Amino acid sequence: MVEMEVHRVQVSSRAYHRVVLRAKQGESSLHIVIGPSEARAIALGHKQQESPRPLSYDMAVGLLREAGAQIQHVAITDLQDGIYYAEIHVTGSDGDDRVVDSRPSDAIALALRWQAPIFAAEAVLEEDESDWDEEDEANGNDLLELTEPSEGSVSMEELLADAQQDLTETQMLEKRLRQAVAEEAYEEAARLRDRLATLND
Amino acid sequence: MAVVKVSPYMRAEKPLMWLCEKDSSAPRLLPVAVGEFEAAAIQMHLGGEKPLRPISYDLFATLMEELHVPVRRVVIHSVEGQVFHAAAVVESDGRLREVDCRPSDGVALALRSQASIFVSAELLDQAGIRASQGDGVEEAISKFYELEPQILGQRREQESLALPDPAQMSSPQIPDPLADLEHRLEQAVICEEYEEAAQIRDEIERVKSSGS
Repeated sequence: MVEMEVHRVQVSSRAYHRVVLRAKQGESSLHIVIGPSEARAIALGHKQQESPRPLSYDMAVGLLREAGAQIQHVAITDLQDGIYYAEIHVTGSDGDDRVVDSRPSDAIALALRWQAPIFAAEAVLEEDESDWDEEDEANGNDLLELTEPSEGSVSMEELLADAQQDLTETQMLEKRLRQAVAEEAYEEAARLRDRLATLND
Repeated sequence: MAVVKVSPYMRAEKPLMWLCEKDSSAPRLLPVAVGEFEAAAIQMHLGGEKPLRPISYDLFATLMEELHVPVRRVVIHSVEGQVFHAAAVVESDGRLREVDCRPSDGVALALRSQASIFVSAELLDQAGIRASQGDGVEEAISKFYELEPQILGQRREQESLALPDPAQMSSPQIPDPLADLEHRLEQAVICEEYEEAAQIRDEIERVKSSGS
């Protein structure tokens, strides 16, 4: 296990959000595609800013406090079929340790609010992906300005489907590509195909 | 209170979460404006959908269950301006403890924790809607929307989009000038030649609009 920290949260023009984790020591990193509300919650937690109204994670932190529980650490443990898996290690008021299955986005959002360490298994870590960062730098907006999903055409079902799993970028791009083709949005499909090609090099 | 339904996503309006008074002969309804994600999370549970991975509320419910600190109830207790305030009540070491939350978060958690949902009597008097005599809950909700023509108009628009396009249902026996284009489009997509696909798609549109 390698201890990680949140490097930054990125959002691009097509409601495509990701969190970038960097190893506290060393070069390795981890890019996880996450849902927009999770991205916002992580960005707020990262900058230690409070939301004007308590978010669901603030409720969860309150619940854990009232339960006399402690988050010991969270860990991103696995990557299967493009989906990342995480665990939350929590101690109850009885002193017993529990391990609860979680999406990495939820685990990270909670860890930041609890100031608990974030670990990642070596097997899920990536080599440096510097060629990606430049383009994202150009597209990147400050997430704190993003209060609600900006694209009016996104349906509730799509919002939910996108936010359900924490995916790799390749997986997300392939999913978007299939959607674009189904919607006959071929200009978008061409763009996604090219980004996939860069990623697979 | 029981959660009846979450109204569909609407472009200009926030979704509404509808709570309905339980065990009453003339139940009152309380509509609460909620965020899209929270609405989706509630709808998902009402619809009996199981996510592939636990969403945030599944995680919170599991955490409390594992810690043996049950969520007993969620209480929506007051409203300030347009903003409703709620609290989740947990039982820890034999004592009830409250945590402030948004109503949507509280309800999404309560549904997953088999906890009861309460609305203060005062709030229900203030913001509740009573269904007219003889009306069921569904009728009362649709009457509410009739009072909001703008919202209803948008719903109609969305519904009409879902209808199949009559042009696409025309009989296939007629020799089809589109068949060749459709075939080429298919090939282009298979070969990932999306620039070409875009051109063929536009060509198909032109043929369709001039032909009908």
